[in-house]
Amino acid sequence: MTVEPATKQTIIIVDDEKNVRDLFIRYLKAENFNCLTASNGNEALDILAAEEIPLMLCDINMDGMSGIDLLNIARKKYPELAVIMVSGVDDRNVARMALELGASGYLIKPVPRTSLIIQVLNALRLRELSLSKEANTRMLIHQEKLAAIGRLAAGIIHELNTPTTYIRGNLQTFARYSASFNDYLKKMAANPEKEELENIRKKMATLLETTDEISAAALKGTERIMNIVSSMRGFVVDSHRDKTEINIFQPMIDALILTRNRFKHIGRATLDGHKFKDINPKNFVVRNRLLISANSQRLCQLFVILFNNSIDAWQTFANESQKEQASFHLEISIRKQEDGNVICQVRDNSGGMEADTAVQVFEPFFTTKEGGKGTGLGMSICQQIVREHNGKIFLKNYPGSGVCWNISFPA
Amino acid sequence: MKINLLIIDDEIEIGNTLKRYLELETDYQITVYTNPLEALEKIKKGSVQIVLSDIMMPEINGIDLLREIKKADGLVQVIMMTAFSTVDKVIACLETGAADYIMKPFDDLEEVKKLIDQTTEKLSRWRKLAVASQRLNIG
Repeated sequence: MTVEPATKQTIIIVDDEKNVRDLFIRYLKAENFNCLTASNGNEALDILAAEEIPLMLCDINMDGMSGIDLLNIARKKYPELAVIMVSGVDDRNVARMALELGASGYLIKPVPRTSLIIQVLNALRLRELSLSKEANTRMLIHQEKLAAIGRLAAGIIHELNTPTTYIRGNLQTFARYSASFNDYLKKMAANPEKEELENIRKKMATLLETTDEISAAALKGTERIMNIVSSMRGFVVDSHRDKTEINIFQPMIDALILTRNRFKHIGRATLDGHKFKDINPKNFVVRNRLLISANSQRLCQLFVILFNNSIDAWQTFANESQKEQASFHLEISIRKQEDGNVICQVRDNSGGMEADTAVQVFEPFFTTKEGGKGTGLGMSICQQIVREHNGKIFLKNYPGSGVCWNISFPA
Repeated sequence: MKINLLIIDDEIEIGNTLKRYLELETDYQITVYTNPLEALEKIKKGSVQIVLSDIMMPEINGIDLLREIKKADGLVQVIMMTAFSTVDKVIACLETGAADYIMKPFDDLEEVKKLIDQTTEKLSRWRKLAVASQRLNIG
């Protein structure tokens, strides 16, 4: 019994000999495949451009474009195309070359019917598997991004809440003040006694003084919101990865602002010896400048992943070792070396890693987090970002104490 | 007697905002603390009647602070300030003896003031009751 596939799959047969093409058509049609044929490379490329074809059977020795050349061109243009090479000679070197260029099979003429069918079915199955694996990986990377954005959003909601609270509160107070002002003005208009007048004047002066405080506080609040918004913009825009000359302190500060809510209640972060909570972000990046050619948004992502990992690891460590009173430390330093390379060091007190964890840390899908909590792609994304910048990232592990990430960027 | 009101929040501007409004609208004696441990020392010395405290601070978490305050002076009325993200901690605080709670951002500072006034009234009733029960014991 044969099971009919929902849609017939199409196979293109490329061979300069008509009798070979006809034979293959007969074999394949009996197995319920659609067949298209081409007698040379160019004809095959025209058909591949016009139709969506999963598999090509390709003769090696043809006039004009050779089968190997066709394989090379077609696989580059259509990476999803599976190709089985067919040859009159059993040549180990040609076979190896075909394999390296991405062929999934190699058949020697005359081709026995069963060999052809088995190779065709296997090539198609392999193609399906690799396509679904790619789709899975894409989905996981997407999930990791969503998870990262989710964690950020929770922190940012809290970060926005604080300035919103005091801006709003101060404006309400301000509204009260103007009501009081009106009262005093009315009282003054009623020509009060000299003593009373003096009293009113004093009260108005006090109010005016506080008005300055109110506007300063409200402005401070809006500045904080602006800082959060601009670091957030750096994190989400992912459409282009162009590098420009940037101050490396900018993405570092942005990443600290974005993750601040996660560490401020459990400890502190220092940047070049300054406590982050004492740093005015705007002034700091003006005063500290180290220019590198980089994409600020990607570096911000990199640092956010590192910080989040450190915080997660510290929390697990603190729970396991019952060190509830201990606090989280993140020490960051950025400096320029004599050779011109810029080195970022991010050191934490998260307890360090097991020796085998430290070895696997950059492997995709490797995670120490509980099922469902991490996709294991964070550090491989970090490594990818560092590579985009021709930089290097390595880990110094201090078991029982913490880890230190060293990231260097070329001058 | 002036009521002593302590505001504890690690964000100085939150404390200042409340202080400015309440000073305009009430006669409370208001002090703002960003460090809860310093505030606790002040409370231990007595003469604090009402505390407005953030629920999550670096030095000590809200519920532990609340326990310490209640241990130092059981009559001190503590109102917890919370954001959406920490609203789950409110129930535990109320069970531990918090007088009430308010949400940040404050919808209307006038409501905050009313809540403090109510708490003050409740406090004075408690005091009267405490005095009366002492008299009873003596009698």
